[in-house]
Amino acid sequence: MWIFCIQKGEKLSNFKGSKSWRLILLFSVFALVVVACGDTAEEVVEETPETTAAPATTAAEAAEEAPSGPDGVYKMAIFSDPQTQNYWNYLDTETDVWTQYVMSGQAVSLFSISYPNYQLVTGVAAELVETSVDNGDGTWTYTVPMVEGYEWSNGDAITANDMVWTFNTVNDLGLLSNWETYYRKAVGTDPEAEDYQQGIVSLVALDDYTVEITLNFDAGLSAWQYRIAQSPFLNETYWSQFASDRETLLAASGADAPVASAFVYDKVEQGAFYTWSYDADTMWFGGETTIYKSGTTTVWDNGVAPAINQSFGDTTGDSFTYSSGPFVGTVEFTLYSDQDAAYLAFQNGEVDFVLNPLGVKRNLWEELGREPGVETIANLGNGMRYMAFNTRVFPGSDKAFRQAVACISDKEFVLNNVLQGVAVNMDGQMPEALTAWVAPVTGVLADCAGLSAEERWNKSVEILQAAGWTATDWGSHPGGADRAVAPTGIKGPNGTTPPSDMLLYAPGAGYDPLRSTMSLFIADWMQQLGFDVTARPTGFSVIVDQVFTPENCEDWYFYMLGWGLTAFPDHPEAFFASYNDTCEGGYNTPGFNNAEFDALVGEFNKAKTVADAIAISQQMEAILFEELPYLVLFNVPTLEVYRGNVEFPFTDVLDGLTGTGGGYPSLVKVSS
Amino acid sequence: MLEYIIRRTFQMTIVFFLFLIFSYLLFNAIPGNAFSNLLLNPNLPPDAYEKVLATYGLDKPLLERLQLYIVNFFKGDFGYSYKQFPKTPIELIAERLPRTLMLFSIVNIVAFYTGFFIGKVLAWRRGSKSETWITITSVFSYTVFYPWFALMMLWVFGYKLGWFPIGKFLYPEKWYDAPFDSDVVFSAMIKFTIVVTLIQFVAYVLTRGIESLSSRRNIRLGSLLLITAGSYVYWNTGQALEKKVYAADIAYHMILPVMVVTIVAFAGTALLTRTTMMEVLKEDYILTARAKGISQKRIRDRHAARTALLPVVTSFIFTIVTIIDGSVLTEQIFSWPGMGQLLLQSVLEEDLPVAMATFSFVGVFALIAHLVADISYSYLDPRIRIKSQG
Repeated sequence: MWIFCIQKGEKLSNFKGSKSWRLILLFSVFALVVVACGDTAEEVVEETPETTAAPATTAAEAAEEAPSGPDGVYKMAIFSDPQTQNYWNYLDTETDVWTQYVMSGQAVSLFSISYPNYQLVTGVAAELVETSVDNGDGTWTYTVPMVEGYEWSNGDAITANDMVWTFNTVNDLGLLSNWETYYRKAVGTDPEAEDYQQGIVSLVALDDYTVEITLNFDAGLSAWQYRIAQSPFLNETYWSQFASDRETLLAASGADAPVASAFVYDKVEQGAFYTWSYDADTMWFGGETTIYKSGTTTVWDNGVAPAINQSFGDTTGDSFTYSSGPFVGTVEFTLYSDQDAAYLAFQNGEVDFVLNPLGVKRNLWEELGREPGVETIANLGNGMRYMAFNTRVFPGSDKAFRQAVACISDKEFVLNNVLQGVAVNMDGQMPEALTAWVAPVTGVLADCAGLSAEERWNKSVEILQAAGWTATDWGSHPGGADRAVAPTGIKGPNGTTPPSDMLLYAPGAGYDPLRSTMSLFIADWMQQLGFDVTARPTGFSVIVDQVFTPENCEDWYFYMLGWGLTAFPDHPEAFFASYNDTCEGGYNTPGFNNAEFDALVGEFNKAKTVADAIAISQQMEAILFEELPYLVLFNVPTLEVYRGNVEFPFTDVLDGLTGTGGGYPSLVKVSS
Repeated sequence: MLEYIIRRTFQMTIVFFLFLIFSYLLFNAIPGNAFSNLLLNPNLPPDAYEKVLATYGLDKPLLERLQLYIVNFFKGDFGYSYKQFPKTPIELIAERLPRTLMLFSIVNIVAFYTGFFIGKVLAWRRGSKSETWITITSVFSYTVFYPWFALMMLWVFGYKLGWFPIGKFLYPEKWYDAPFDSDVVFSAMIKFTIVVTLIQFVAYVLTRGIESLSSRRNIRLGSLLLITAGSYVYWNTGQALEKKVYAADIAYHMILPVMVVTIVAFAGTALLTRTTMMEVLKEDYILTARAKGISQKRIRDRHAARTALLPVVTSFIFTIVTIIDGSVLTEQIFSWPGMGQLLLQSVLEEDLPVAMATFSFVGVFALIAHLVADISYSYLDPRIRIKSQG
C-alpha cells in the first residue's frame, strides 16, 4: 500500500491536474469517508449475531443483567507490568510493587493494619489475641477465634482450614522468599541447639473458626502481631487443584481466583491495562471507620456480612470517620512505560492518580500543582537514608571516629542550603511521623546540632583527641565557610594509621541525587579531619552486592543506602543485633556488636504491648546515638498528585497514598 | 555463489557462538542478580535468599552456568524467566513480538520509501532552494536527540493539540468488553498488512515492464481499488468484523509513533540516496542516456535511481533488525510493550534467561540480515560476485 502511494506521490509534480489524479483524489476522499463513517463499537454488537454469535450474546446479556453496585471508573497509571496475577507467585519471588498494586484481594489474614494511623486491627480474627499460653516445653500457643460468616467470592466460607492448608502448602511445596517469612517451620525447641530455628511448630484448626498456632519461641509484637498473625492465607477449594508442586501452583493464572474483596479481576491485557470490576455478589462493602491518633473503631453492618463493631487502641481524643466503599464500579490500571508520558496523561485527565512508589519529582510536583483541577500532597516516607560505618575494620571500628564524623557532618546545611529543603533531616532510626517511637536525640548529634562549620570541626577534633588519636599536626580551621587545614599524620589510639583511599559508596546521581550529593560533602568533611576518603557514587546493585554479601563483609569502609520500613518499627533489631551480622548472612551490615543492645533486643522481641516496645526501643536508640553504627541522614517526603474529581477519605498518611494503600481503590470517590 | 553462501553461513555460525558466550558473560558481569532486591527485606530469614539462588541455579560457578546455558540453548531450552516464573522466555517473546512486528514493519517501510523518494528528488534538484531546505530538514531529523524529539511530539500532538493518544497502544475503556486480547487483533492486522503488501508488490512488479505510462497507472490504480474493496469486505465480514473496532483503535495509536520514527529514520535513507545518486548522475551512461533523448524522468527512475539503490537496500536490510528488537527508546517513550521493552526490562531486572533469549533472537536475526545483505549485494552487483568467485 505504502509502496504504491509513494510511487503515486512521486508522480504528483508531473501529473498534477490529470484525470487520473482527480480519480485518485476522489477515491482517497471516498476511502476516508468510508473509514470515518465506519461501524462503531455499538454497531458491531448489533451486527455480530449475523456472523459470530458468542461475543455479541455475552455483551447483550451483560447489558441486560447489569450488576448492581457503584458506577464510575477510577483510573490509575502504573509504570511496569505486574509480573503475575497469582498471589502465591507474588509472595514467592515476584515481589515487586506493581504486582502488589494490581493484585486482587486473594488473601486474608487474622490481623491487619488500619491507616492512616498504622493501628493494629483484626482482619478475619474475631479478636486481637495478644497473649500466648506457655506450654512449658519450649513452645507457646496462641488460640485465635475467627469471625463466622466471612466468605470468599466463590461462596466458600473463610475458615481456619484455609489457613492450615496454606501453611501446609507453603512448607510441603517448599515455597520461597516471603512465604518463609510468614510460615517458617520451627526446628527444635532448645535455642542453644545448633540446628534450632525459630518458627511455627504447628498450625491446626480446632474447629472451622478457631485456629491454634504453636511457636517454639516466646513471640513479641514484631513476630506475632505484625508477622505471623498477619500471614496471608488463601481459599483452599480453588487453589488445591493446582497445589501438586511449586511450579504448577505458581503457573496458575490467578485471574479468576476467589477473593475476599469487592473487586475481582476483569480484563487483563498484558502490557496495556488491568481492570478490576465490582463483584455484584460481594459481602465486602460498606462500613465506617473512625480514626483516632492511636486507635481505630470499625463499625460494619451492611446486611450481608457479619455485623462488626470493634475498637482497637486508644479511642479517645480527636478523630475523623470515613465510609468504606467501593464507590466505583471499575478500577483501571493503565501501563505507561515512561513516567513523563504518564504525567502528561495525568495532566490530560486520562488517569486520576499515578501510582508511583518514589513519588513525583519535586519540580514536576510544583508544576502540576499550578494546573487547574490537580491536587498535590506531601507525606513523609516510612523509611530512611543512612550512611553505614563498617565497625569490623579500622577506622570504622573506633567509636570516636564515628562520633567525629557524625559531628562534622552538617546534614542540615546540605539539605537546606544545597538541596533546597527537598528532604527532611533524620537523626534517629524512627521516621518523624511515628511520634511515639521517636527518641530524644542524645550524644554528639545533640551536642553538635546548630554549630557552625568551624565549631563542628573543632568539636570533632576534640572528640578524636579525647579518645587518644594523635596527629603530627592537628591543622586548623580558618573560620567561616572555608575548608579546614586538615590534620596530618593522624593515627588511631593504638598508633594505627588509617588506610588511604577509603571509599564511601553511594548511589549515583542518576539514581538518587540526594545521597550522591550528601556523599560528596561527607567525604570532604572526613578529608578535613585528615582521613583519605573519596565518595564513590556508583550503581545501586554494586553497593548491594558489596555490602550484603557475607564474603565481602570486611571489604568496605562506608556506604550510603536507604531502607523502606514496615508498619511495626522493629528494624533496629534486624539492622544492629549482633546475631544478624552480615558476615553470617543477616542485615547488620556495620557488624555492630554491643551486648547491652543485644540484651534490649531480646526484651524487645518479647514485648507484648506497644508501650513496652516503645520504651525498649527508645533505650536501644540511645545506645545507637552513642555508638553510631549508622549515621542516619534524611527522610524524603513522598510527593503525590491526584485529580480534583477524586476524593480520598484522608491524604495525610505516613508513606503516602501509594505506599500505604495503592491509591485506595476501595475508599476513593470519583466524580465525572 | 553456493560456495560463497556456505562460507558466509559457516562464518556466521562461529560469530553467533562467540556472541552467545560474550553476551552471557557480559550480562553476568552486571553486579547483583535478579533476586538482589530480596536482600532489602530485613524480615527475610537469612538463609531464604540462599535458597532462592539455589532454586534458580545461581549458586553455581559462572563457567558451569555458561556451559549449561550453551548446551541447553542448542537443545532449545531457554529455561524459565526469573522474574515471571514459570513463564518461559519463548512465551514472553511470543507475547511481545506481534506488537513490535506490526509497528516497526510499517515504520521501516514508510521510512524507507519516504527517504528513498526524497533522496532521489534531492539529488535531481541539486542547487534548488527546495534541495537546501529539505537537506537542512533531513540533517536536523538525522541528528536530533531522539528521546527529546519523541517527547516533544508527544507533548505537542498528544497533550497540547490532543490529536493523538499519549502513549499506549489502545484505549482501555474500548477493550473492557473485548472478547479477545490484543495479540489476536495484532495477528489479524499483521496478516492483513502482509496480504495487502504482497498484492501491491505483485502489482508493482507485474507493471514494471509495461512501457505505456497510462496502462501502468491504470493497472496499479485497479490494484489499489481491489485492495480497498477487499479490505472493506474483509473487515466487515466474519471474525474480522468483531476485530475491526479494536484494530482501528490500535491503528490510531500507531499513527504518532510511526510518524515520529519516520521523521527521524527517513533522513538517513534520504541523505544516503542523495549522495549515491549524485555520484551516479556523473556517470557516462547517464550522459549517454541523455544524449539518446530519453526523458528526464526515465533517466532518473530507471537509470540513476536503480543503481543508487544498491547501498540504500543494504542499509535497509540492516534496519530490518529493528522490526524484531523494536526500538527500545520508541517503545519506552510511547509505552508500546514490544520486544524492545522486554529486552530493556529483562536487562534492568537481570532476568538473565529472558535477556539472553531476546538478545539471541535479535542476534540471530541480525546475522541473517547480514547474510541476506551479503547475498543480495553479490546478486545485485556482479563485481562482488565475480570477485568472490576469485
